[in-house]
Amino acid sequence: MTRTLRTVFAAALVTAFCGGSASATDPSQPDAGREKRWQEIAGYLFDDRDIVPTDTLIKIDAPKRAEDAALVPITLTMPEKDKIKSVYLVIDDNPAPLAAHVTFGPAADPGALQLRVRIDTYTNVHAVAETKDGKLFSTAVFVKASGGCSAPSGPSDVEAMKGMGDMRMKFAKGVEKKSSEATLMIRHPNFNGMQMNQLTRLYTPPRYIDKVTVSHGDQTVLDIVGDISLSTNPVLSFNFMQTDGQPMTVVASDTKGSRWEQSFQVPSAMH
Amino acid sequence: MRGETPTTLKGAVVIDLAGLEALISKQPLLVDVGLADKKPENFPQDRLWLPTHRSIPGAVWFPGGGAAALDAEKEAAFLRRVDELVQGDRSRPIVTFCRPNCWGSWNAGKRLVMKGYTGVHWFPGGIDKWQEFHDTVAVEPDKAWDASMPK
Amino acid sequence: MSGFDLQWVGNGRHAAGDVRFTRRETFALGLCMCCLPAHGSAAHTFSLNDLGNGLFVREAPHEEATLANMGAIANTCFIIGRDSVLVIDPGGSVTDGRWLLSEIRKRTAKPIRHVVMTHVHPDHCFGAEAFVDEQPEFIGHAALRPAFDARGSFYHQRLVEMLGPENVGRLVYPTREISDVAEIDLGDRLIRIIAHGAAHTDCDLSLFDTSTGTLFPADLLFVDRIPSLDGSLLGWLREAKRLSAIAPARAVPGHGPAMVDFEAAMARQLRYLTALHDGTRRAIAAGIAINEASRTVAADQGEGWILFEDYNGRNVIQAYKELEWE
Repeated sequence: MTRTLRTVFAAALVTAFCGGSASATDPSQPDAGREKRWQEIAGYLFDDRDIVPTDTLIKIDAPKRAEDAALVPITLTMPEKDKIKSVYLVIDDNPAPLAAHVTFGPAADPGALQLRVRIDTYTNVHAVAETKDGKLFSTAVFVKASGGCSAPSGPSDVEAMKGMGDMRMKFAKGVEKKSSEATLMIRHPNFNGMQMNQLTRLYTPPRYIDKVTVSHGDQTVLDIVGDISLSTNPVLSFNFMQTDGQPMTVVASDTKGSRWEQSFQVPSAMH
Repeated sequence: MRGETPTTLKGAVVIDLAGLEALISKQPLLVDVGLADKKPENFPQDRLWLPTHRSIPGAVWFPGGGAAALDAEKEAAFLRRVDELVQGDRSRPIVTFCRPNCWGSWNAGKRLVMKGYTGVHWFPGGIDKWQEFHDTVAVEPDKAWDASMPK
Repeated sequence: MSGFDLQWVGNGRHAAGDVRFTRRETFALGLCMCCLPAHGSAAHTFSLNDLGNGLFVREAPHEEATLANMGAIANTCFIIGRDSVLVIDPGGSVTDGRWLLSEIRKRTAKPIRHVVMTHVHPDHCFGAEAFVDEQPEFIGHAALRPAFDARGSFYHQRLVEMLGPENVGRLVYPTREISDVAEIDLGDRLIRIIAHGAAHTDCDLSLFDTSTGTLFPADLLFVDRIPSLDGSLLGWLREAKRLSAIAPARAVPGHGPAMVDFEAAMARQLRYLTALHDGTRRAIAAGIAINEASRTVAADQGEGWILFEDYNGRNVIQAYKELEWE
């Protein structure tokens, strides 16, 4: 890991910004600061592997200003999908920056992925594509959102827990032959540990979906590692290569050790 | 501006974003008392927990410095550090603010007013209002303040 | 906290700056504090509408909570009965609540026996502390307590940032919880209270003054200002029917004019909610993603609604979250 690097950055920041006297804003400095932040995160997540900026291998579609900071829809598209092994979604200024790591299996069509996240403050959002030859490519957008992490999971904690683990899957025709689109919905409060209960003045203990595996027949579609930035009632849309007659199976587990499994029949007349 | 608060030297001035923008040219001491993100209990060891704190450029960050109940030692450390930063000039403009999820900026303003600072401004809009129109920079906790906090 | 003398100077500048307040941020979680720029009005300058028969309404402006208005941005009402006074929504801050109390006391010395908090949103609840010494029953929906538990601190902190802690006050939990229907007698004057299923929020109460035929739908009825969805769209459509079945002669909405013709106002609100419902359902059926839906659904419904641009997208997201599970 890059602990030394981190310390250097920290020291630099203190020197630059905590000198004790206010000065006019240097408009270029903030961008440098955001880039430093990204480098620091990347250091932790990817050690010293090279990350090449790309505007072709992976793209992010996110609202410039979120309507709801606790539910910011993000769409990732990977036009050269045959090259893609996995994708990382990183919300730079969330305290736990890695929102999700999704690894595509043999039954996946890695062309597109949609998910919903909580965003705590105005921040860059990075998407990193890992290609099958082990290289990393990144892109970023700036999203204006505020307070997404401390926003409650529902009208009340009890209400938010109702139906925990219930799943739905919806299917739609994909854009090309054999590829179908599926939307997976999981009922789960995804308590992130940063939501405070008024009565007890305590934080609601974290409890969130951290692993989801989607299979089609005996082939893996997706392996998802989630973190506290995924929205309450996680919803994930993805594409898969359909084999008629084979069900979709979802296995999800949360950080309290609960595990849910459900199978869905795929409509066979989709193509 | 202080001329507008004739009834007492104990007053502070409440400013909005326009007020802060106007004040910036006077080089106020920007006191950010926003809380540091608290790591959720039982946060998995193998996951990345890497909180950051972005603030108004030039701000000095006193995480927890606006707590309603600060013990005497910490309160003294806070006031000592502010005194250092303004180099003993109690009339220097000071702006207290934080993020929306704390109301420590009011407490901090109160402490400074009680201590005899005459240029205290409270910016309730905080970082959220600032970042709507201006960029922010990442800051680390003020070292002297941080050293006074229990580890 | 007392003794710290914050000076509210430069209100002219406040007004200028408030234009730049961000609406979406304060709207997080359906917080109904985001409205038009402040006009520098202060709580104590609001006037009460005397609607006759002991019924008084403070008509609030469509504004965001600011130091200038002290959070007084939702309508608040009281009914002076033969024996006692009932307050519906005690104000948006303790300062607002104190103002309301003083206005009541200018008019009557009768005991204030009931203070109703119609739902969890801060512009309807935070004035309650001002009434604690009057020792009324604080009435809320059975779901209000858990809603306070989940959201109270978030709301409190947000409001404190805008008004300062001494103006906000603390949350007062209900001392009487209503899960179905209840009747309160102010002295030969029955007030019927209905606890609704999830609609605007999940803890909405409405009140009906049987002697004058006046309905108090609180935020189940928005007039002029775009409705904000924070509970259940299907539920709201359902509960609207329930209110219409009462066939009230008139209504005092949670936001809007002090008194309106119920049928016309509700019909207008239903047109929007129905468009929101139908459009969202169509988008889900067509596989249109939530972000695209938030930009397109009901986007043509803005005419005549204040703050439409700020709230419609968020309403679509709320509706989508609900209807995608159908």
